[in-house]
Amino acid sequence: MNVKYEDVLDVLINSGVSADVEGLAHDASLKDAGVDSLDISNFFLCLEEKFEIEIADEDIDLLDTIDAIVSYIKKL
Amino acid sequence: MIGIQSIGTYIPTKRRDNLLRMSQFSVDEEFLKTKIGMLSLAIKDGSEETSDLCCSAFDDLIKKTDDIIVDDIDCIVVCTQNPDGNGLPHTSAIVHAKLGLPTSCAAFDVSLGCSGYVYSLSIIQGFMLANGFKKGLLFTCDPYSKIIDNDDKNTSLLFGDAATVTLISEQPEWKTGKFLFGTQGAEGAAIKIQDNSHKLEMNGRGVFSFTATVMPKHINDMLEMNNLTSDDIDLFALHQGSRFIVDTLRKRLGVEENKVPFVAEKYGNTVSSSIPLMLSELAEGKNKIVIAGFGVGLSWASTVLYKVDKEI
Repeated sequence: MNVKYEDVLDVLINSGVSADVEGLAHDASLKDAGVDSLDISNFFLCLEEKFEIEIADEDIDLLDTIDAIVSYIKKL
Repeated sequence: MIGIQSIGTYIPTKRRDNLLRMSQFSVDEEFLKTKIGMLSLAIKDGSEETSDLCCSAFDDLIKKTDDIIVDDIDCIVVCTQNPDGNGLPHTSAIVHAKLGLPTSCAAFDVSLGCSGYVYSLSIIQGFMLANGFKKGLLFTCDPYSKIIDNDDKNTSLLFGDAATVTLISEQPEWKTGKFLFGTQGAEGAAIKIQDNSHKLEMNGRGVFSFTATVMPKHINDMLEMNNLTSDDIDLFALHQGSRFIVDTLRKRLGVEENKVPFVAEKYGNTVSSSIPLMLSELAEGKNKIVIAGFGVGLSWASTVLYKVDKEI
C-alpha cells in the first residue's frame, strides 16, 4: 500500500492525541514524545479505519515511530 | 403500562485512592484524571456479600419510595457475574430471603456485565408483562473487587463496587422505547477470568477498538429505530468504562459535551450499576435519555427512556 510519512502524521494529529506531535520526526519515538497508551490505541484504530487494514496486537510495540508505521503499512 | 418508578443505590464508603497508586503503575496525575478518569474506587468491605450490597440499595429505594410493601413484589432479578459464594444458590434467592419477600415472588439472576442493566430492563419488563406482574425489582451488583488483581495496570485502576435497584411498576416515571442488542462472542476473550489466577484480565486495546467502532453506529441505529436523532436526546447515559472511552464515544457520536457526562471519578467503573447510578443522579429534569451498555461478552445494548408525562 502506498503511504507516506505525511499521511500517518496526519492520522496521528487528527486522532486527537494529548501530546504535541506537530512536525514529529520520522524516527522519533511516539512514547518518548508523550503519546500515552490510550492515545496509542486510538491512533492505531484510526490508522486501521483510514487505510482499511488490521494491525495485530503483537505488532504494536514495534510500531513506535512514524517511519516504522509507514514501512509496516507498505508491507501489508 | 409499566416502567421505571424509582432507583435506589448503594456505593460503599470505603475508597481506594488511585492518586496514591500512580507510581505503582507508572502513570501521572494528568493521565489518571483525563484518560482513566477514576481518582478513587469504591471498595466493599470484605465481609459484605453481593446480596448485602443489593439489600443496602433496597434500603435506599425504601427511603425514596414510601409506598413499597414487600408482600407486593412479584419478581426480582439480580444482574451479576460476581454472585454470593459460587453462585449456587442464585444471589436473587439470597436477596429474596434477606428482604423477607413472599414465596409467590419469582427470583432469578442474569449473567451479564456492562451491558447488563439495559438487557435486564428489557428482560424484567417482558417477564412482568407476560405474567401480569405489577411490581418488580431489578438489582445490579457486580463487585469486581472480588476478582481484581491489584497489580494489574489494565484493570486495577478502573473498577469499583456498587449496587442499584430499579423499581418497575405500573406508576412509572420513565418508560422504555425500542431496545437494540448485539453480541460478538468470537471476541469474548477480550474480557475474561484468567484460568489459573481466577482474576479478571482485559485486552484494553481490543475492548477500546470494539467500543469505539461498534457503539456509535449501534446508538445511531437505535435512535433511528425509535424515530429520533441525537438532537432529541437530553442525556446520553453511557456505561462509564473510563473517561477516555466516554470521551471517544462522545466525539464519534458528534454530541455536545454536556449531554455525555462522566460521573465515575469518585467510585469507578461499577459494571452493570454504572447506568442506573447515573440515572439516579442525573435523570431529573430530562425528557429523553439514551442508555447504552457495552463490555463483557462482548455484548452491548441500548434504548431510550422517555419521561412518562411527555409521551413518545
